[in-house]
Amino acid sequence: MINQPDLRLIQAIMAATRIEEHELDREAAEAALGEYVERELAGEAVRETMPLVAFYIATDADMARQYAELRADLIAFEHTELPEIAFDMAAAQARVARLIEIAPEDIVRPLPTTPSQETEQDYLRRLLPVWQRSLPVYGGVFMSGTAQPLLQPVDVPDQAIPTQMDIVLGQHETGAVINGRLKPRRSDLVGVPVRLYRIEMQPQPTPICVAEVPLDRFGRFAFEQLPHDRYVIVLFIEQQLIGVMWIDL
Amino acid sequence: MAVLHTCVERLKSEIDRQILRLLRENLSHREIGARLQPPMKHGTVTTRICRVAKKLYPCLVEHGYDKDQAIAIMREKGVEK
Repeated sequence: MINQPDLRLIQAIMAATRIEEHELDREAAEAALGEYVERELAGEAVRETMPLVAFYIATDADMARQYAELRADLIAFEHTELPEIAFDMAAAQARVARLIEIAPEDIVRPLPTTPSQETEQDYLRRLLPVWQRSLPVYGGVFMSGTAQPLLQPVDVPDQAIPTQMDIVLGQHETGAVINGRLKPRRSDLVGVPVRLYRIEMQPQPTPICVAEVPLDRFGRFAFEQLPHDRYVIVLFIEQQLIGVMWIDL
Repeated sequence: MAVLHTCVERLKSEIDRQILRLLRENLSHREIGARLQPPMKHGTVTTRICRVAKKLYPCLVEHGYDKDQAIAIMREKGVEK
């Protein structure tokens, strides 16, 4: 049997024969790591088709560790069946923190007066196109400037570091877009369901699940093509309702 | 894997051999660079590893390993030569 260091060196040799020195871009390799793992698990000979990533995995312990973590996450995710979870309105109401708030530093001009919450929501909607023009663009949607107003603390069990749900709202021709990310990323939360409920207000507040997506290995989730309405985003961990964020789109 | 070790020992540069020894310790490029005397930037280490690996390939071929055999070694993880 070939020992592990020899095997890694052979892998590095084979990868190096397929790349040029000017292609040694570590950031590019890291960015392609997720795709590398996915294609590898799909049966592709990625050491030959993605030699740059293979080279870094074979020669750099940091990259090898990231690779192993992503691979384990993805395998675990593929074998996980998402549990059926009922919405607990009482628990949701108990955890509601606040409506979306607007901080003066996040808008193009300060609010003239202290607005009511309803006015804030209306103002927020009107700010969307302004933000789209003036804030950094990420993945086709805009980021909140400081992200502060859209960061929602999340009570993740057994987590020493504070965890937050960062929400980015966008507007496409087909409707609103919600892009979210759990910070910091945790590998054990890959596949945790995030549900989007539309809140039917009449005759009484009723949550209607309109979409469910799993947290991906980067802690991200997204909902698209949403009509203007009132929504609540809910994160479930171990069938416990963990994070709630109300959004009026 | 004797052939591989023979090829490594053939390298003329002591720094190259030193980098490969550190590579066997499963370190990051940054850590390898810090352990070298004099220290080397991690980007330089990356480039150097790539160059050394390219140098080793002809030696493997010379000792009877062609591309397909090397790939087979990687896949089977059990061929000794």
